[in-house]
Amino acid sequence: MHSTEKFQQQTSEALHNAMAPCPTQVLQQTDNGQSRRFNVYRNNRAVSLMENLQACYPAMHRLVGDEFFSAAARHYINEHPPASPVMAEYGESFGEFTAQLPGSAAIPYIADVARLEWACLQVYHQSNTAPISIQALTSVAPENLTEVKLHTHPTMVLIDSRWPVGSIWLSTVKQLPTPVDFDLNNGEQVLLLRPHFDVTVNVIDQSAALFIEALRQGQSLEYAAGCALKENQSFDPGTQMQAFFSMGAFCGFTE
Amino acid sequence: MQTLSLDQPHSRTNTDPGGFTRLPRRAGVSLKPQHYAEILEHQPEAGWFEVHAENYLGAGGAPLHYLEKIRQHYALSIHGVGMSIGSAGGIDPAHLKRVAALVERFDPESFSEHLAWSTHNNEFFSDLLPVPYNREVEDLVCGHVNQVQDTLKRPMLLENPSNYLALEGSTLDETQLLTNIVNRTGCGLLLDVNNVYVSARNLNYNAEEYIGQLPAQSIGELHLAGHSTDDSDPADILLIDAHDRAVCDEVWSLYRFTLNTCGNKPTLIEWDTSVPEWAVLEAEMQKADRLLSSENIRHAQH
Repeated sequence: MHSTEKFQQQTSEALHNAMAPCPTQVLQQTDNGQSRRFNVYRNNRAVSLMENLQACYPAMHRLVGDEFFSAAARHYINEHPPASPVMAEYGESFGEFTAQLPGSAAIPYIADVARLEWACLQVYHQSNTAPISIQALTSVAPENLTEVKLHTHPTMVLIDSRWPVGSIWLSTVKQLPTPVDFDLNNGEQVLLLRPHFDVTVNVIDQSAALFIEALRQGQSLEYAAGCALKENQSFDPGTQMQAFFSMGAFCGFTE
Repeated sequence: MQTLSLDQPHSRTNTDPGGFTRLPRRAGVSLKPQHYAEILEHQPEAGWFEVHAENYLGAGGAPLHYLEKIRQHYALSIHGVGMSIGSAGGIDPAHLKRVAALVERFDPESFSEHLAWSTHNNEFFSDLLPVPYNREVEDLVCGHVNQVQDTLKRPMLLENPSNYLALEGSTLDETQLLTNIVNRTGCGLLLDVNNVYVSARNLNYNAEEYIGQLPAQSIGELHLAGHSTDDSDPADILLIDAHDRAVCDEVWSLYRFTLNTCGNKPTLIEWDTSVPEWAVLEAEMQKADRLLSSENIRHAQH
């Protein structure tokens, strides 16, 4: 093995284990300075990766608190270090990882909050697609409207959670002054979209979720409305379609 | 010999004839997302902006959108922080390809990376780790610099690191190693004046001598930044390259020395953590600009 490779191997091992001695190639500077100086690199690495996880998961950070988040992040960084220097792509499994830790049992929805935040980050960096407005449908003959297949926006993500994850996330990131009591028995459907450059987080009801999911699968308006009506007899496809158009949920259609 | 035009000290055409960089010989600033909107709206007098390549490798969205808009009005430097030029295991070809696509898209006036390594066995350490200074590392780094320059189809600048320790097996001075790499690859240097100050203090050498030993004509860009002090051991005070505060007086004075020794060079105010409001960065930039256009500076363009 070449000496550079050997040194980098030793350094990697020493960075992984805070208790490990620093690489033997590090020259003595002062009586006690050797590992203290090497610790600058350990610290830089830990702080940089931890700050990145905090930036990816701001609501999760607030919900579990700084101390727990930092401890979870430290474990995660060592067990699942990044492979790529692109930090927007690091930390996908951090939510699941944290939810497995004994201390997070008191916050059962933490993995879903993390799932939402990770999806927001991915959507934020996705390629740009312009949404269409509802006026685009005026070219369609009224009798053909029910057979139209709307193309859902490529940034659209539907999160089906057994927890009120959208409401929890919104109140946490907005740091609402009064604590809001959520009925944890009410699951939520959360629709993420990035029609332009800002990611929007929309809590929608179950029938609306069935409607948009059917459209996403390429079904016609009539079929999608049927799916929603089975769930909720008072579902109004016209109103719901307008609401989705104003969120920027569609980027085209086929007749 | 060319002299700096004092009528138009901020002219964009006042570029480096050495060919390492096309940045104007003015002060520039690290571009941060919190300042995108303000910069676009007010279009402040700034020589150029620098971004970290790794923050702009997504498929789309706000970062690339704003960078494209800002690039229409300003010169741009793309600065890599994750290429791992000093890695014994080689440069990740997939990462290099992504950076090359970004460079092709934005055609920046300068591209730079570090004399450091940050990946090993498919793991990224998110820090600029040190290499020993010897012939083996020289060959390794030259190979990687050539690979980057060939792929990006342009010369790159190589930045001197902040040092916290010295390594066994070093047979060259850092300035010798950098000079050899410049001579063998045709790359330029990005001289980080704060890194020189930090390293010189940590390893007890003379910062001005270090700067005097570098090939001045190969320096394409200067960096200025703030550092923190770890005085937890009073017998071994360490300076840390934190990029989290204003440039200190000592580094400003080393910067004046650098300008007098090496001539005017495009100069970046680098600020990555605890980023302040735009006005604070602007004031730092203006301070560097005043020194750059000062008549006291040797105007010889190497």
